[in-house]
Amino acid sequence: MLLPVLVFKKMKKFILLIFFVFLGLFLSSDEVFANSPYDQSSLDSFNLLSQGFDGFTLSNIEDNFVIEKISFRVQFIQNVSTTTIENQCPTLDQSLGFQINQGDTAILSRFYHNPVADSSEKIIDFDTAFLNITGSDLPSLIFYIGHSVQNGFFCGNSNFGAQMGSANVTSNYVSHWLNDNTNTPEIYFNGNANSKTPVLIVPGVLGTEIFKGDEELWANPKMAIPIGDDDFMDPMQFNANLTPSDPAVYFREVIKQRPFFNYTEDLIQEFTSQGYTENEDLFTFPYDWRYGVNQANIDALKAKIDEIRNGGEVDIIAHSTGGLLVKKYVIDNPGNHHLGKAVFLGVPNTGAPKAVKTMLAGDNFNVHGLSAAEMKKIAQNLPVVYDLAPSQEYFDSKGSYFKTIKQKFLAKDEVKDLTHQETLDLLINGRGMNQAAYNNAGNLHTESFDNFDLRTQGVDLYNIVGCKSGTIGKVVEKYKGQDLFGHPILEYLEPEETPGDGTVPLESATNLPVDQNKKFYALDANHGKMPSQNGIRQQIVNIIVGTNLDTQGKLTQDINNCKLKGKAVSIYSPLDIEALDQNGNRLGIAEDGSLQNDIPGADFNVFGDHKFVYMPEDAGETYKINLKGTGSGSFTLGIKDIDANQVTQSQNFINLPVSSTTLGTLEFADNQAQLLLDNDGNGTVDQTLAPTSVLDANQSLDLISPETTATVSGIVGNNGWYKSDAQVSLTALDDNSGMLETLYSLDNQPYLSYQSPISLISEGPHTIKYYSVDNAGNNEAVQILEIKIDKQAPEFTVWFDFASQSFKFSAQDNLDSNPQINCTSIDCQGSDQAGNTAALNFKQTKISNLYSLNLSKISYNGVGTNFVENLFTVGLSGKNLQNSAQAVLIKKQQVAAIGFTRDKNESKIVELQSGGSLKTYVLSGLHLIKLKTNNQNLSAKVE
Amino acid sequence: MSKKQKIWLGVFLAMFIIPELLWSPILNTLYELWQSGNVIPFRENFIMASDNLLYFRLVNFMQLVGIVFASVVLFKTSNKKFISWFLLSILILFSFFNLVVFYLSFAFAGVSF
Repeated sequence: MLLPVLVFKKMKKFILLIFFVFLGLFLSSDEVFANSPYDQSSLDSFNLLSQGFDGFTLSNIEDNFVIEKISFRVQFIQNVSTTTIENQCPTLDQSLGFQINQGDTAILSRFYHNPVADSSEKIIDFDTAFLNITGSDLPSLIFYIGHSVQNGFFCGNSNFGAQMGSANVTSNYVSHWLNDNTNTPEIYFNGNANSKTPVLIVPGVLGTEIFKGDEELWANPKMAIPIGDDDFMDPMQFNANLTPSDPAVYFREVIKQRPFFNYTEDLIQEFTSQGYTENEDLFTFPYDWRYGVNQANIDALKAKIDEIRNGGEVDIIAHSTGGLLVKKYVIDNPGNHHLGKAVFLGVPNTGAPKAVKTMLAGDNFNVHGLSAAEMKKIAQNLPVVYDLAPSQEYFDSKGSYFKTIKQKFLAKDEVKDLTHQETLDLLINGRGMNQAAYNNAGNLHTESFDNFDLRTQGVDLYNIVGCKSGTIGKVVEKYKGQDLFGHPILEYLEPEETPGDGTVPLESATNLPVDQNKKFYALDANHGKMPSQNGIRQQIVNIIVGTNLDTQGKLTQDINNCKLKGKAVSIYSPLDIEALDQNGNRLGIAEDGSLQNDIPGADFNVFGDHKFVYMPEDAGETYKINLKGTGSGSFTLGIKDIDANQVTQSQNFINLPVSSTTLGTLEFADNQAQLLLDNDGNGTVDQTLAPTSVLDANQSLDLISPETTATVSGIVGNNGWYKSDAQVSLTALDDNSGMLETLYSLDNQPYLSYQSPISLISEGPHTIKYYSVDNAGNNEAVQILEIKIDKQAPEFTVWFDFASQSFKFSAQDNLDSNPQINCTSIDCQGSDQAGNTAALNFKQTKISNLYSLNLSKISYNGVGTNFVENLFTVGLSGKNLQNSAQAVLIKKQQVAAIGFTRDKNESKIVELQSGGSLKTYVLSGLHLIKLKTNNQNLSAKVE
Repeated sequence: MSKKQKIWLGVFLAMFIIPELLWSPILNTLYELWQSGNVIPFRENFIMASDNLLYFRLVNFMQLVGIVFASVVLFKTSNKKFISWFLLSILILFSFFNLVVFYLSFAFAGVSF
């Protein structure tokens, strides 16, 4: 019992602090900070119909329209003294009222008299079910509102509508019963909701929750956890036969809101604020987007429309893939689709190259922590990804969306913009994409589908497209050969950027026949957020409801505002990039290695070590660009200026050294780039570098690597060997931007810049690696040249063979382990693998059991030299000639002799020491004297 | 703890507590993470609106600075009594929550598909 008291005493201040924190939390609900002193809940079941002084019209009224109640939220002013009003209305009291007209005929009017003493803000209800309109010939009802005087509606004018139509009078009267002119009366009514056309929101790919059991596979915030490979999403995969790998996976609701990600919630709220109620006149259409545009999803959409339309039409908002679904639905239900207005948002009518990029390299969809590899795995057999890939129509209207650069050995790179069919062939046969899924997508994206005019089916079509965000327009793949297992070695270069919404190119989104005045270009569109994006969601509501909400200048109807103007930065290296705009928005690699792109209109792609960034500059944006080394090696950084979608200039920093401690900042002064490098990361700038090259528009497009030719000079021998010193000359050519430098590495030493021919003097094999770099930063593939030098001819060894009782000869070479030798009784010819030759001339005699040999001359590669006087003598004695004596004399140089006694089986050896003394010693067994040639000299050795 | 240290502790705690009282950015986010599927904030307010993400990050960063420095001040002035360690543990826990929320405000906000 004492413990809690003790704890309380000790923690008194802290507990009080916590208490007040929580007290504050509850007391600080929004109502405390709101201005309204009354209970708003009484209006919860009401729809806000109008806010302002003007009257309004309810259109599309259907049969049995019932107004159950009308409420005004107003505040009267006490002690008003307005000369104008008093002049017009000398006996004012404070009342308000409304009148409902059908056409010019007033069918109902009511008013409320306010006690003069009461000036509080209040809600005034007219709560009788007073109006029940039947019949189908009621196109609209007109509501007029105003204040009344003298138990009547109007001051000096019995026509309520005319009164409201007069701005001056209205203003005066309003000031009479409102606090000020900025406060406006709010009119609510609770009536039959049939007055609104139902609205259906059809989301795009990834726009519906996917579950397995109770586990959310998409879009579970745990995908942002920077640990693990996100394989909890594996069940979302499809098999190669386009069936789900896990049949237990199912979809739930359209994604509305996740922490920090608002997909449709704000759009729904925008409609709600206009009087719409979810599941009454505002609906969403969840579906299993993994299947793409298939019959089941089309049937489900039809069923949903039939369910909600109440015998009338449905207005539809379709995002991304949802637009393809709606288009197919209309095509399949001609004259029976029941669609009124249709608003398309970022619909990839002819596809998007980003789908191809996702299949080849994955994508983390800008979610930190989401594994691009996991998404690539899932994308492999997912039908929707293929439905979103560019179609033949995309190619026909915009051109190639896939460029290949085939690196060739000792030949110029082959660059090709593939046709649609060539791209399909490559992706299916060379990259393992799913042929059946591509066939299905081809069947969907026929020419008639891609160009289908929904207006011909009576759809009131609107198109909102993102137009100014950098978007992948063309994937650029470099093929560098095959690995040991036959797999292609691929590198992805900077994709070509095109205007769009970051995912769907403008050309694809606008490939939709629509009235020009119903086409809107969103300037800062982010494809995945378009439904709720600020400006866009207001425009959607304006289209559907007819309101005039402020779109905050984020949309335009002039396509000239859509051209890209900005900078495209490419980095080829172990180097991370971070860009911060003037508002603090960040683009770069997060700590966990995932991508972050919060800069509106920017694009960020990563392929392996290569990073590609597009940053818009058309609105005067400024950026701070930081670099950070992640490994050792070299980096190349290119900056392209883009104006009106065209590259106008590029500045390149090429092959600069980088380490994991390297920090850098990229600055621009008068658009001239300057790179500040802090090599050791100590916070001090060590180098300030100007661009290695500055290229014009044409040179900036150079994607082809230079080509280097190596020429070797020297005496050529056999089998690829050189018999002399060699010199290697490197000559490089580039077809566009011009040569920057050629680099070479001799025998795996560090690379050096090539300035003059490389001299190879030492014998043996040499390896020269070399490549060239052009001014656009294109690095040629490393070429390897093997050069073998053997300048020395073989040497000879002579000894006496006691078995055959004759002199024997052998040849040795410093580099050839098995040189050739061919001897006669007077000479020997030797040659090595390089073709070096040696000739040994000698004279041998035999007198009884005495054998002698005199070496007279040796020639190397035809150049001969006489030996000093020499004599090699061998005598045999004893029974069966078992004893022997060997002696070698080389004049003024060496004397050696061996006497061998078989009985003792020992060799007695005498050698002349260098000081002139004799050294005598005994070894067991028979030993031999071997006479060797060595670069025109002779030597003897006891072995 | 000196008067100066108490003032600093108060300032740092206020940097954390006042935004939490006004808009509950951390409580809101943790509450959303607690939910499965579509989420509803604990308290709707302007800072939770997707259009105001920059303000959210700014406020949340200020909270992070406040709670971390409050922890540092408390640690440096700790008299190693139970109550000090207990308070410190609480602050560290809040710092962790704050850090998670700050990370998520970057991690999930850029979603684009």
